[in-house]
Amino acid sequence: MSVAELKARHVAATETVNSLRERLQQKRLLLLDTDDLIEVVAVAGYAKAHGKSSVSFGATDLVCCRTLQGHTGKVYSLDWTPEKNRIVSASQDGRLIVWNALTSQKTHAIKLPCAWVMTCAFSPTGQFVACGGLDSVCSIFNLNSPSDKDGNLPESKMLSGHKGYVSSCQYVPDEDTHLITSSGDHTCVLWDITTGLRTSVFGGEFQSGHTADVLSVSINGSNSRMFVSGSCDSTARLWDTRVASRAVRTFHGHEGDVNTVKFFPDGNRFGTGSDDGTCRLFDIRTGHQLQEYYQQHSDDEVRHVTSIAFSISGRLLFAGYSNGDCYVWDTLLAQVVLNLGSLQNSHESRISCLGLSADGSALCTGSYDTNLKIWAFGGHRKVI
Amino acid sequence: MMGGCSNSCSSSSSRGSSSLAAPPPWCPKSPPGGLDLFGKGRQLVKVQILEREIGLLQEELKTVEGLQPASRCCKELDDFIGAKPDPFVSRNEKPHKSSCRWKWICLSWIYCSSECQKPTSCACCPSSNSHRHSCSCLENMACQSCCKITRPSCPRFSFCCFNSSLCNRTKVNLCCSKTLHKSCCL
Repeated sequence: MSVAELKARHVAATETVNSLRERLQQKRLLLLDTDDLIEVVAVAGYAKAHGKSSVSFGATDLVCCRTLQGHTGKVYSLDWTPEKNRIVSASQDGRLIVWNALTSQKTHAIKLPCAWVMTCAFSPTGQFVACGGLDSVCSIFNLNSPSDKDGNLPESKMLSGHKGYVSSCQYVPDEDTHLITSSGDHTCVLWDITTGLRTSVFGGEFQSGHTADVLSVSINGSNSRMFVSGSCDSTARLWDTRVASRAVRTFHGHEGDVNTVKFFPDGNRFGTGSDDGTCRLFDIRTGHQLQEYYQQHSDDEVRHVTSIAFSISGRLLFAGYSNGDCYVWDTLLAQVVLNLGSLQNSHESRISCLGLSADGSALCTGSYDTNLKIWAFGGHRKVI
Repeated sequence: MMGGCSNSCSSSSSRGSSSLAAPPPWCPKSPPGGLDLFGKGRQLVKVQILEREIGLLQEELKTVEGLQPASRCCKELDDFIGAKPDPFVSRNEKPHKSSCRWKWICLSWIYCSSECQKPTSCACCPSSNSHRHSCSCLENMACQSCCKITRPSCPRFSFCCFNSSLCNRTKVNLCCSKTLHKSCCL
């Protein structure tokens, strides 16, 4: 077959794909049987029809309890331990810091071999931390190891194989020996940390996967064989770790890079945040986009969503934005109930990362202002 | 390439004569037929990926009609949210039933503002007007330490109380005492 024939076949196949996607979207719209037959408001329409009242916060209901100071550069990533109240953070200053979140004390300050770190994660037992960045390597550190002669914690493992930067990493729940990374090389990888080898590669040049940099991963807490990824190709994809050749489902809708993805606490839905300024809620079993979370502003500035997290019940969606806002969304009614960025002692710059503690009692935010802050609820409220 | 080499060779042999022009720089010739094999391979892969995507979309079209409607997904969402206790979303809870969230607030009193102003909604520490407070949240070890390092400049709002087996009273004002458990009880 000639190159010209191949190009013609490519054009025809692209048209067929677009046509099929359009038909699929039309069929999905028929399944939107909530009062508001618009995809973006399915959950809010249902909630209003069933008389739900919005969550409301008083002025002092949500307070900043701690400010963790120590990094000398922008904070890019943070993660809580699944047990105990420790946090690991990664910064532009080329260090990981492990904090006791209750006392604000630093238990470890790890100088990284490559300063260009973008992501970090705690292992399920809390014994290890992983990080990755522009060196395209995911490095593992054992927090119980002795420091070397220079006082630095040595790497216990280096996971090499990505052909692009490591944008995000997360340990598989209850497994200190496996983690999943996302990368600028358009793939996600499941690693066996013991051997240092790739167990599976999701996507890539010769497989059906993301077609641009992958920026974020989130593993299903209810079924650790499933994870979602978000990418610069404006899609989120659901993967089964047993089937690396293709995504289980691709979720379209965003009109910009999908910077962050996070599973909903029930494991059947997940949220996304994008450069298009919206957060969205998708159902993994049906593929439905259940809700869009977007606040119109008087100016034309588009505020990119940098990070999201759900409260432990899922009633609240915390979303960090590139302008320093941190909206607390009522997930059911799709209304902003609070902006942490407007509170006393809030961050002075972009919120780059956030995460909820394992017991759901505290939210930690990380910012370009070099600080981390911990927020907790201190009031009483009736929710009807 | 051989032709090029021979050309350069023949050119170089005449290079010794200053009257002759310098030969053109040697460059490899393209393969016959003008076909970029590497580009064709990549194009074929792209087509195959698209055709695989077509197959997946056709499969999805067959299954989509059997999917549950969005309202059922919304109901599941609502039911899950309603059933799960959430420290950030109180539902007429009494403070002692949600001690996990109070550990952050209790300790924060040490780092509170210099005015030691207590939000009226926080029941962790007693207000000046009432001694009837359930401070069992401070049975958490992490909270007890806040009482030991209370700032003397904030006497009214710096006391943390908890039920102590060493004190016969129901309330123990640990922050008043200089030594643990030798407290004045409220």
